[in-house]
Amino acid sequence: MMFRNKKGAEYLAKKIIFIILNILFVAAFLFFIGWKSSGAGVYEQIYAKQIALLIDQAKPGTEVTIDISKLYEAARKEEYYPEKGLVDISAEKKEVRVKLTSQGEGYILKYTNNAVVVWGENKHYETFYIKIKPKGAE
Amino acid sequence: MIKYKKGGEEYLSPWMFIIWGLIAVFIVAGVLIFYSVETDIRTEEADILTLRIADCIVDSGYLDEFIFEENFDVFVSCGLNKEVIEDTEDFYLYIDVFDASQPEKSLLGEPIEKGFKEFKMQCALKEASKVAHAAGCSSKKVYALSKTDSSKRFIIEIIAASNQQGVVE
Repeated sequence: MMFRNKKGAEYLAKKIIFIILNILFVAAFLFFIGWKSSGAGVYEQIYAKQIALLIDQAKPGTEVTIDISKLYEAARKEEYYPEKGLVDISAEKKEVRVKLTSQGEGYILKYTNNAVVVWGENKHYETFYIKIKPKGAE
Repeated sequence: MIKYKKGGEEYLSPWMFIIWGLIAVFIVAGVLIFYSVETDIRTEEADILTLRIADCIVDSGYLDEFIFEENFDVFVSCGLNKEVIEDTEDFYLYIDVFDASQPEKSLLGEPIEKGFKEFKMQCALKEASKVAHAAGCSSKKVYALSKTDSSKRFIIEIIAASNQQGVVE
């Protein structure tokens, strides 16, 4: 109706398709970047590394409580509610494991400190507690 | 608006999709690299190791001369886990002690080297040419006094490296 000739209508249709494709393209990237920056995988890595570095640096007698509410937030997004908590420290293997999804076994990082690590997770306050004791003080 | 009819028709050409594909590849690669770099803590791990060693062999500015004894064990003295450092091939430690008046002569005879020895070369290359994917390195020279001889000064050279990437299971 608006265009007297067919070519004009075709030109407009092509332009609209082009704009829609551009919007879809940009939206897909915004979604990808958002997903990558707030994904469970990133939080698993960040917290496992922070906790491992904290243990490596700590001297016997150190007691630290860290806020892990962001981990709980990420786990809730993934609908993952484990009984035993999101963070696990293996004294035998000297490794920190953070797991925020039901798939896989999470992210694992080793620490080099030979001290005894006493730890606990408070699900109510969404905090993680670490106490470093000298070797042999089990 | 568009003078040339052909130019207007080229909006949805295969070239456009190829260009979009290229942009997509670069953006995805960029984002993946950005997030992997942001969480790279290998240099911090190496830094912590050098500080830990310096802290355990130097006490209030004095060298713990137990380091010169044959039965000195860096793992026991510095509270480091031997299995993690020696068995994983992810870590490297190097310690040498020099007399400050003769800094070319090692007082240990043989430097203490633990872990994956190839990292020493990687650290040297990284320092010289900024190799991006080499292990995270930390190198420190610490000055210390002698507990037994007040005129004696030591230079302790400590190098630590970590290439721990973590495991996604």
